[in-house]
Amino acid sequence: MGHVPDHTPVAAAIEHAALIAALDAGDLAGIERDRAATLVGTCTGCASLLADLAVLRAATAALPAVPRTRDYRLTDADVARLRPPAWGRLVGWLGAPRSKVRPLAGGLAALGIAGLLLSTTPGFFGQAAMTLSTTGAPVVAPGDAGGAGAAREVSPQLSTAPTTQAVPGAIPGPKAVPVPSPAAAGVPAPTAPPSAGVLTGPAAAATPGSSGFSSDAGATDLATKAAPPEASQAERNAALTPASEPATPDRTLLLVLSLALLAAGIGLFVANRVLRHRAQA
Amino acid sequence: MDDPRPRSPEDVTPAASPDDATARRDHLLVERALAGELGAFNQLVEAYQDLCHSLVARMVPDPDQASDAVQEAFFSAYRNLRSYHGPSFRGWLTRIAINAAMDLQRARKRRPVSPYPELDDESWQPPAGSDSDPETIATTGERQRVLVAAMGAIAADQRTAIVLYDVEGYDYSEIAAMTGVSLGTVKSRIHRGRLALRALLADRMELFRS
Repeated sequence: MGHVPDHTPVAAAIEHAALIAALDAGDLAGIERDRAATLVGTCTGCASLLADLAVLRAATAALPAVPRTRDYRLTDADVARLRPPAWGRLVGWLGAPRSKVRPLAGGLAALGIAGLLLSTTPGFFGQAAMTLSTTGAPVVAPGDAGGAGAAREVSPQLSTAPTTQAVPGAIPGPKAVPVPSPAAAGVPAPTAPPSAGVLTGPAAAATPGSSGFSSDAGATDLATKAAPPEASQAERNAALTPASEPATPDRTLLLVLSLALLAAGIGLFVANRVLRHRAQA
Repeated sequence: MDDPRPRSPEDVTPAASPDDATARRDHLLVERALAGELGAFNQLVEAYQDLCHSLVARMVPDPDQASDAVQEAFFSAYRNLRSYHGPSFRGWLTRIAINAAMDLQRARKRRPVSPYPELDDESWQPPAGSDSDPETIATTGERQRVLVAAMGAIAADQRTAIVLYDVEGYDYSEIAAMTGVSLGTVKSRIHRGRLALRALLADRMELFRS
């Protein structure tokens, strides 16, 4: 249903009054102004209204200032009451336009992204994992035919660790430094080259209980003890597996830290933006 | 030979006006207040409390409520002083005072009170002008009383617009910015408000015509 124009006298009077009020305020121009002037010239009520509006406008502008009855200066008690709580100050700092929130947020986010890239780059942790798995290679007793082959089946990392010599170019890690065990303190060094940092081969396995030159070797000994000679190969492999796992927690820790930094940076940035918009509104 | 005349308005360095001096003073006081100096903020209060009270008292008919609104405006200004970034502290404070008055009027709509209790007090007289003629003083007083009463009876948004335009002298665009409405709405409120005043004072117009 469309709009039906109201042509009643009341509606016309309201429209004329609005026109006269606009004329009085000086807000009309062109045809509207001519129309209002015609109304004022032909209608005594309109002319009277225009005169009254002008008089009222002048009287309103001449109203005296209302005298003040109270002193609005703030006291120390007012200030103490108005001081925002700790969270309010934090919100104020977060939302302050000139605060250091944005640079801080950017720095945290950048650190987070860098950490994420490092933790997900295969080369970075792959190299470390290679070194660790090398040092953690299981020691197989001589004559244990298929022992090396069985160890290769345990995990891909184990399979990359040669049993007879170190990986060329492998970086000796902290665990690769030969540390004589208490039981082997008086025993001369075995034939394995110290520069390789890896204790492997028959020399290491020839003297059970006294052949540990590294913690990994000790772990291997423990694993060997944990798995009795009559145990199956699968049980032995299961007992050996933990010796090659230290790479996983490092990567996870860096990943978690990076995600936390990234989330903190983004959170600070969003909080600053939202609070600033709210303050401006 | 170079033309000594300035080539553009930007080339002209305006002379320091009283407004600039006031703005500089306000800026310094704000800086000191932000540093924790309560006295500096109270200097700003002293400078603008008459202006704020006069403005809000016109918008809020009840004097006690008007005083409360002004006090709340200064509290709000103190709390949010860090959000002031110029250029005019007076404009910023006026906007806060208007918001406080409008909030109060919105609350007053829900809990109406008797406006202008001084009108019930026969001993109350508006401040006398420079004319000392008793008849003129009486006429002026009566005119102001009925006008103030009529102002209290029109819609709050129309009253606010009329006070800001006719009494305080702001222009349409400033009022639109202060009250958060369009320019057309400001004009419409002023026109309708004046028509409403005239309708309320139709029987007393001889007071104003004389």
